[in-house]
Amino acid sequence: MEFWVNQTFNGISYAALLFLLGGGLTLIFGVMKIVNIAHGSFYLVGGYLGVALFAATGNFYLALVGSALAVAAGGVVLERVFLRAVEGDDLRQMLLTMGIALFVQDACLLVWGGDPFSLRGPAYFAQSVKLGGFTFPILRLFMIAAAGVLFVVLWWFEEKTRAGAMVRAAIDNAEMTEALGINVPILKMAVFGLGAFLAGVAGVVGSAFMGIYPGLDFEILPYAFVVVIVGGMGSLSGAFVAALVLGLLDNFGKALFPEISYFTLFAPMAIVLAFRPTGLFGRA
Amino acid sequence: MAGDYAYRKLGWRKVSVIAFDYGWGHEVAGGFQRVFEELGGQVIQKIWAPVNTADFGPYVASLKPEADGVLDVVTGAASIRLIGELRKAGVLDKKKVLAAGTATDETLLTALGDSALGVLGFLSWSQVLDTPENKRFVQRIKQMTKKDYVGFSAAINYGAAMWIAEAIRQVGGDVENKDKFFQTLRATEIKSSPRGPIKIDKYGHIVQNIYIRRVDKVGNLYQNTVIDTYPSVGQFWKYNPEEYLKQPIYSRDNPPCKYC
Amino acid sequence: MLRVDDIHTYYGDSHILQGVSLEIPRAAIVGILGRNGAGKTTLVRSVMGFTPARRGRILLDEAEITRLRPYRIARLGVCVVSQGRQIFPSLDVAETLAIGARPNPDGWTVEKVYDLFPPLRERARHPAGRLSGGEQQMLAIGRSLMTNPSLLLLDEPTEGLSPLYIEAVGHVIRKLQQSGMSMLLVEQRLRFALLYSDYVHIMSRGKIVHSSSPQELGRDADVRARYLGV
Ligand SMILES: Nc1ncnc2c1ncn2[C@@H]1O[C@H](COP(=O)(O)OP(=O)(O)OP(=O)(O)O)[C@@H](O)[C@H]1O
Ligand SMILES: [Mg+2]
Repeated sequence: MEFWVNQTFNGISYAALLFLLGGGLTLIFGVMKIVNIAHGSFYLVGGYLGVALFAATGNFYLALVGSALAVAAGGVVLERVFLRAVEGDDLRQMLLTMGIALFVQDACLLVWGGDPFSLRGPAYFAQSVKLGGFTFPILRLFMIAAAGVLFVVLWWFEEKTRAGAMVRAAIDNAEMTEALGINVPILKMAVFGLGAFLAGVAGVVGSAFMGIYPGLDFEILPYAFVVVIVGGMGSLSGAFVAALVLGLLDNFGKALFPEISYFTLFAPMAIVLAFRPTGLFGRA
Repeated sequence: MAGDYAYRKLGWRKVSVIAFDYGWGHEVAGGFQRVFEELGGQVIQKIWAPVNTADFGPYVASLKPEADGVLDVVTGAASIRLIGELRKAGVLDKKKVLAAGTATDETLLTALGDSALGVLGFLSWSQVLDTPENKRFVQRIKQMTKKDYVGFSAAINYGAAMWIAEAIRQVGGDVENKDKFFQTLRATEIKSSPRGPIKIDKYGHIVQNIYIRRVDKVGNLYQNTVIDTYPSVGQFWKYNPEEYLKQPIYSRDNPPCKYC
Repeated sequence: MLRVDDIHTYYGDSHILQGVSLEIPRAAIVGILGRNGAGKTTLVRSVMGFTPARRGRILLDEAEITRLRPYRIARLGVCVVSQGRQIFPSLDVAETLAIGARPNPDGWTVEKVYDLFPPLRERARHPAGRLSGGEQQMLAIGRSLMTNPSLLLLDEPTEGLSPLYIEAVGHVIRKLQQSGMSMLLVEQRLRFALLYSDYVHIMSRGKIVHSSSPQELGRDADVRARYLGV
C-alpha cells in the first residue's frame, strides 16, 4: 500500500515538472509551427536566475515569479527581434533557435561557471507532511500545486476566453485568423513569451528539485519533446495528460522493472506515434 | 576496500546498491560487492540508474528497509538529486550512505547543502586533507579561482602534471627519446602530491591512498572530513593481479546478485 | 473602392501574377473567372496581404495597402471568404463568430448572422469542424461579416455545395450588395458569376485576358470557349 501511494505521488510530482516543461513548448509549437530548440535554454536560464534571485532576496516565490517573468521577456525579445526577421521560413527559424540555444549555453557557462547549483528554497521544502500514515515531501507537493494551478488557469484562458479562442484559431489557421483583423504577430509574440514563462517556472522549480548545471538545457529538451509528441503538438490538455501518463509510467517502470529504466519515457512515445501519429490530443 | 570499510568499520551486513548504469558504476559496485560478500556481507539489492536520471524518487522509494546501509555510486549533478532524495525520503535519518567519492565532490557541496551532512565517501583526495602539500595546493588554487571550493579534478590532474614534470626533469628535458621518457615515467614516484604519494603499477594504473571522508559543516562551509585512510591502494588492492585479471569484467550481472 | 494597379506576385521564384489591374467600384460585384491555376486565388491573396505583390500597387479608398500586414488590411475594411472555407476546427460556431467581431453601429452582430443563417444558431456550440460543408460555408461568410467589411473577397464560395446551398449563397450575396458592400467574386461556375456580377474579368496564366459586362460575356461564345472551355 505504502509503495503504491508513494510511487503514485512521486509519479504525479514528476509529471508536474514534465508538464511545465512540455506545456510551454507545445504552446510555442502551436502558434509558431516551429520546434523551439531554445526551450531548454529558457529552462536553464530560468533555473540560474531563480538561484541568483533566491540568493539575493531569500524569497523563493519572488525568485520564481521574477525569474519566470525575466525569461518571458527574453522570449518576447527573441521572437520579436530574431524569429520575426525570418518569418515564414520554418527551417531557418528552427535553426535560429538552435543557434540561440548554443549561444545561451556558452553565455551561462561564462556567467555561472561549470559547477552545479541547487535552489534550496524555503526551509519547509526539505520537510514532509504526514497524512494518513504516508509521507509527502513538501517540495513535491508544491510542484504538483504549481503545475495544477498553471494548467487550470491556462486551460480556462484557452478554452473559455475570447483571447484564448483567438490563440486556438491562430493555431488552426494563422492566415485566416489574421484576415479577421486579429493582430497575429502580437499574439505569436505573447504566446512565445508565455511558453518561455512556463519554461522559466519549470527551470526554477526544476533547480529546486534536481539542480541546475551546464548541459542540462540539452539534457531536458528530449523530455519536453516527448511530452509534446505524446500529447499532440500544440495541445495544452494533451501535454497535461501526456505528462501525467509519462510521469506515472516512468515512475512505476523504474520502481517495478528497473531494467527498463531507459525505455519508460521513450517507449510510450514510440507506441503512441505508431498508433496515433498526431499524439493523444493531436489534430491532423 | 570500500566493501572492507562497510563490513568491518561500519558493521554493515546487508546493503542496497544504487549505481550509475555504465562501466564506472558497474566497476565500483562490482568491486564493492566482491569484497563485501567475501567478508560475509550480503548485497540485497542492486539498482542500475541511467546516467541522466532526472528523478530518483522511484528508486529511493523502493530501497529495501532491511538494508543496513546504502552504497551510492552516482556522481555529478545527479548526485545532488539522489542525495537530496535520500534526505527528503528520510533514508539518511535512518541509515548511513557510503558514496563513491565524487558524489560529494567539493564542487557539489554548496548545491548539496545540508542534505549531504553525514554522507560517507571514499576517494583519493579531500580538500581538507591535512598535509602541508595539500594545504599549499588548495591555497594556490583558491587564489586563482577566488572560490571557496576546490574540486577533485583539479587535485588529481595537478598530481598527474607533477608526475609528468618530475619525469621530464629526470630525463633532462629529452622527451624526444620516447622509450626512455616512458620508462622513466613508469618508474617515477611522487612522494608528496596534494593527494599523498602516487606511483603506477606495472599495468600502468595508479597506486595511491584512499581516504574515507564524511561531509561536515564547519562554520559556513561544508567539507569532506577525512576520517580514515587506506594507504597505497592499487587497482587490485589485496588481490593477486594475475588471478584478478582472469575474471570476467564487472557488469550489470557480474557479480550476480545472490541475495536480491 | 479598390484599385489594383499592374501587380506582379510571386511564390518564391515563380512569377504568378504578371501585371493584373482592375477596379471595384463601391457596392459593385466584380466577377473573376478562369481555369484552374489561372491565378485567381493568388489575386485574392495579394489583395488580402497574404502574399503581397512585389511590384504594382493596391489602393483601398486611395490609400495604399500593397504591403500592409493582413490584419491591418482587415482593419481597413477588407475581409476574405477563402477557397476551401478555412474553418477553425477547434473553435465552436459561436467562438468563430466572436473572435473577429468588430462592432459597428447598425453593423453585423452575432444575432444578425444567426438570422441570416438560421442553421448556425442551432449549432452555436458545435465544433466548427463537425458542420456540414454548406454550414461551414455559412460560417465562413458569417465570420467575415462579423468584421463589418466594406469589401468582401469571395474565393469560389459555391465550390462543393449542393444546388440548394448555392442558391442560398447567391441570395446572401445579393443582400450584401444591397447593403452597400463591394465584392470580388471568384468563381468557376460561369452561370453563377454571370448572374451576380456587375462586371467580369477572365484570367489566364496570371493575366486578365478578357473584361466585359456579364451580358457581353454571356453572348460571346468564342471567348468562353477559348478561356473557360465552355
Ligand atoms: N504556394 C504556392 N507556391 C508555388 N506555386 C503556387 C502556390 N500556390 C499556387 N501556386 C501556383 O500558382 C498558380 C496560380 O494558382 P492559384 O491558386 O492562384 O490558381 P486559381 O486560379 O485560384 O486556381 P483554382 O481554380 O484551382 O483555385 C498555379 O500555377 C499554382 O500551381
Ligand atoms: Mg483558387
